Amino acid sequence: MIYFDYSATTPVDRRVSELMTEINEDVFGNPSSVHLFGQKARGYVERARQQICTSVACDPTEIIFNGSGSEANNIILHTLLYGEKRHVVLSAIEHPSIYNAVKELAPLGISHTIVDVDDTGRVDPDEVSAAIRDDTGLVSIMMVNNELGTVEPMAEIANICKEQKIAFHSDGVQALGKIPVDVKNLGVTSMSFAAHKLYGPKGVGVLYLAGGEELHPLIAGGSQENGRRAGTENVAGISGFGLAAELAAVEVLGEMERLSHLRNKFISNLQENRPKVMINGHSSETVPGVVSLSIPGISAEKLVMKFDMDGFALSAGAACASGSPKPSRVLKAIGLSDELNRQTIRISFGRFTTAEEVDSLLNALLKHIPIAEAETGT
Amino acid sequence: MSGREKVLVAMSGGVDSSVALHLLVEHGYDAVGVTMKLWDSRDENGNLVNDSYCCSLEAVNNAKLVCEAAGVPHYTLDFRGDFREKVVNNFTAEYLRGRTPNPCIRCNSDVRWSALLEYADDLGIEWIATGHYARIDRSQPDRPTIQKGLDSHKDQSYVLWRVKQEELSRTLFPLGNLTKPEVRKIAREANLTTADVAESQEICFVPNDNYRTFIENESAAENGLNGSGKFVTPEGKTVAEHRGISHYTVGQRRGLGISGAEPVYVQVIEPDSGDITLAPRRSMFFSGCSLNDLNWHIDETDLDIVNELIVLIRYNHEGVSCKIEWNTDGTAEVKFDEAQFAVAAGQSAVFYDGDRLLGGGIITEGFLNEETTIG
Repeated sequence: MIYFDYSATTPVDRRVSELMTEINEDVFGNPSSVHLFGQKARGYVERARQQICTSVACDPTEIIFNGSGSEANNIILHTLLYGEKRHVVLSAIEHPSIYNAVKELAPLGISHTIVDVDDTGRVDPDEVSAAIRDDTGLVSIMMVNNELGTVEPMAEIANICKEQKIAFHSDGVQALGKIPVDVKNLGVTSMSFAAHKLYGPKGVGVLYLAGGEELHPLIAGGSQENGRRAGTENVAGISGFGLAAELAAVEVLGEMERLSHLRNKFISNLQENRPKVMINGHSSETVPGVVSLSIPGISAEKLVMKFDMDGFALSAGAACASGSPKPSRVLKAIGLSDELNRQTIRISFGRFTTAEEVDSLLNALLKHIPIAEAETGT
Repeated sequence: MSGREKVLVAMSGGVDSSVALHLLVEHGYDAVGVTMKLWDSRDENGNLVNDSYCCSLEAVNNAKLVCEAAGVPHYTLDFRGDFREKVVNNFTAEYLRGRTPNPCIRCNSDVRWSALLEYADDLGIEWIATGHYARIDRSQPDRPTIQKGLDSHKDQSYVLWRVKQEELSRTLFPLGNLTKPEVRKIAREANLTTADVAESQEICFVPNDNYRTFIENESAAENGLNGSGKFVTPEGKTVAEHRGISHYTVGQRRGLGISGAEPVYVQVIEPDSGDITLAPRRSMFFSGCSLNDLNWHIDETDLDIVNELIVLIRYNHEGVSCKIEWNTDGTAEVKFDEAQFAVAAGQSAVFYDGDRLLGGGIITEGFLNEETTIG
């Protein structure tokens, strides 16, 4: 079984799982405890915080550990309830933890405007600018889209937000570990991350929030995370995230080059042999490991099932909890017809993907996709 | 890949289909589990609208658990669109026309079998299987026929008559030779997570088995039709206004709101006028019925050589000996050897010779017995 679904989640890096096992076996203290057990646990949590700060270039006070990327996104939206400016500008291709969460908050007085994307999945910064109102309190645009791999024009959006003095939140879950993320350079007010997308454990998220920005806890209670996220820290998970972020920071540039090469070779081979196959997303503004393919005439759902049985793990659209594919909102937003939407698969490469594995996937796809009649004549 | 025969198993998340999968795996089949999502138990906002296990996330996850434990893949197939269009809309339309549909039969023939075979074809799988209590006789390999399940209390062959014979040739019913208690026992011994899942409710998409409220909500959404009209006596005398024909079914006695010396039943529903004839029990017997939409698993000429032609006019009907007369347009008329209580249009008349299911049709009209002296 070969794994080609790194955008859904990643295997935990051996170095990370070894650290977590060690902590689970030896470090059980509550980081808030005064005694030695607590001190030791605290050390692991704070060391992880520093590792993450180093990897995204921020200050330790700007990191809030929590339960997931979704939670981090929800914390930011929830905070709007306490302010005067309760309007959110977001893109049509945001993750459900922004897109659906904003709708969930509508009865509580949060309004929103959805900005469309072009056919590559890029937001037009001018449209963001135009959507901003007097009562806009937040612009929320993801850095990298999970289904397409497209990277959004972060600098332009950040400039607009800076000029208009509006907070800029970015869902960075699909960015960290895949491309360099420097929160100060990006100019974001806040950003969310999840450990499991970069070879860390599931169930651990980070919210970066620029110093001085106000925040109301979504989960209130004890004074953990400076009173901004209650609940005894997931020491092993947080430590795993710290090490995963550190490893990713070290390896990201080399991996980008390696995965870009794999992706480009895969796409050119596929398109050379099956010219009808369409690649979705942006040709250059993209993370290196994600390929969104539309294959006219081929059911993505059945392809994913068949390939699963044949030993290749792919996905149709994004991974979804019910396991039942619905037409993707993201693919609709880039203008794919419902028909093509259902003929679109996502292949994502990562740290453990080898050239041989990509070749075997290519061969399997070539076997599965018939040569169109028009193509055989030439 | 292994050379073992492959089978696609329809998994509802209940005990029957779980045991079906378990038995197939035990017998060396290369199985793949699928759960067809036919209906939403929650609305768009995630609120529970139908507190039914069927098609719920819990049911899907239980099916996944059973498959995972058996080491076979499991997939969820979204057939909500097809089910809504072909089964639910038909269910509502039939009641609004004063008929009594059987949605399980339609679901099997118009949604499940075609969907399962389509996926099986595309995935290179020879067989499909379900957890129905029925058997298939393959003594004539090109003419397989359905036999009643060995457990007469659970026999589900009645709901399978509309499945096409060519579809049967690729179908397996692993539970056909088992009784329900045996199935539960197998499930417990195999530690299947679904071993003690309760029996499913009558109609999977109707909340609390209250189909009248369901029809009302559905038809209100459509066009506000409810077929209001009058209760009349067999002589044509008006008795009272009724609540709309979709609230009633032939043979119904309760909930009519009519009191009298003698209990009365719904005898005939006239969808055009909205009239519903009420009659005492002795006038509720039918000598036969007309059928359309017939489907046979034997050659029609073979009907002459059956031992005894028995027809069931509803699920759990004990059956009655009968004769069939064909009309030139492909419809048919059935004469019961003994008059039968409450024949409802829209129900299925299913024919058997002993345990062998021969075919069936949809009842278009019941013929009231001329000599209504029975009972």
